[in-house]
Amino acid sequence: MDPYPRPMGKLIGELSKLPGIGPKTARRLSFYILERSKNEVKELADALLEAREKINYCSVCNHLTENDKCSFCSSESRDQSMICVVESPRDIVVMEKTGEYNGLYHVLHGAISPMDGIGPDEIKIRSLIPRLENGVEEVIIATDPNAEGDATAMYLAKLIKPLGVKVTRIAHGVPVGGDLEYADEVTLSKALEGRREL
Amino acid sequence: MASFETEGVVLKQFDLGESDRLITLYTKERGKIRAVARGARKGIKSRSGLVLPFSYHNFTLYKGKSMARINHIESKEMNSRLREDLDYMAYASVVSEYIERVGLEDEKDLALFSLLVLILKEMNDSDKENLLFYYIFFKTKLLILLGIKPELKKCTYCNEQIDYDKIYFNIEYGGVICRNCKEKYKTDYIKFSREEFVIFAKFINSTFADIADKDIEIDNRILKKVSLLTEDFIAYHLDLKPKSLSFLYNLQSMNRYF
Repeated sequence: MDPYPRPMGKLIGELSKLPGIGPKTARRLSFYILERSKNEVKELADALLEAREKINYCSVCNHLTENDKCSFCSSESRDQSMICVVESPRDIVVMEKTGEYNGLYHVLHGAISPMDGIGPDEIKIRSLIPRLENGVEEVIIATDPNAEGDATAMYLAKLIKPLGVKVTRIAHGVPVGGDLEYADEVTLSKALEGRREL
Repeated sequence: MASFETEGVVLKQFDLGESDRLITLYTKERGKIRAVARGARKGIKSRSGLVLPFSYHNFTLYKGKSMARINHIESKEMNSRLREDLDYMAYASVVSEYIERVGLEDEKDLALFSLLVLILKEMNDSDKENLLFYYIFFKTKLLILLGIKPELKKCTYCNEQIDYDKIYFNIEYGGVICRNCKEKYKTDYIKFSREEFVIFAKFINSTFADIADKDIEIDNRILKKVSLLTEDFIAYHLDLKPKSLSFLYNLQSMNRYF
């Protein structure tokens, strides 16, 4: 016999499709939702629908936006001569948290992964090239420091460098606060490669 | 099953959950194995940076009721160049994908493992212009290991000795065809000059020791023709065309453009 009424089973099923949510957490969330007032639940449902319906991708950088252009692309206070290339909109959030970067962004929505059949045409690389004609002096590649991220970075460098635009890659190495003895040899050799003079 | 040690090459990896990676290994003792590298994406486990495609290590794996888990890694060959240069990476991806597709899970194949280790190391240490040579060598040896060695001496239609002045090759029949059968059966064929055929036969019949340490000076046009033939041969007989081939072709056309 099914331990839950049908609508609750459906709710648990839908919630467990979310990333990082297993059946147990989905069950807990479902009980929490059912204990809330109808108004609170309606607000949650409306927020989900509104986000899905109103949020699109920026026509320039592919970041999330409510309008045609995102807040970074329409802002005049951002440095127009720099573009930071990231894999996903989540990466923009962490880059902004640093407070160190004031340029523009370009979101690729993925990374090159030849063995998965994801080539340059499957991610948003082509739309980056016309943007470089508008006085861009440097492209910072901030893709993940793994095989796919590195392949994407190398491909972008190959594509952009002949256009006379400076291409840089964010540094890789030992995490701040970590112990050197626990770092593996690949990470440590990357840190040595990217060392700087004090 | 408790923990066990094995040598292995990382073929492929993809994200699993919030912080883990699922790694496909080709191992010396157990063939293809999928194992979880816990915390690899967050770098919270030491040595997680070593679990990179094309690298070769001694692994300590633990296999409980579910999927195997990587407990410890001792690095043997990092093959870094295969990840740090796009051309090297494109070739290494195709090689790894072939092994990933033909390798069987939990089934030891020492010859396939040795070929993989050898080719990745040779590619990593070679000059860029020799990558195609090693890639063809890999594919021709793969054909033999998989039991689909092309017939190069007798006509695959009539079993007669062929005339080596004009050589016709039929992929579907798996080897050469004589002039008479070519005309009689109006079949598809790839025409080889004597020079092209000698090179193709050398790849098929030579061991690595036979061709290693010798100056590799073969016309690039011939290498490309042989490479394409071996790809089509594998695609026809094994129904296997690696996804990463399109990236390799994309890069080759890009190299011509820049």
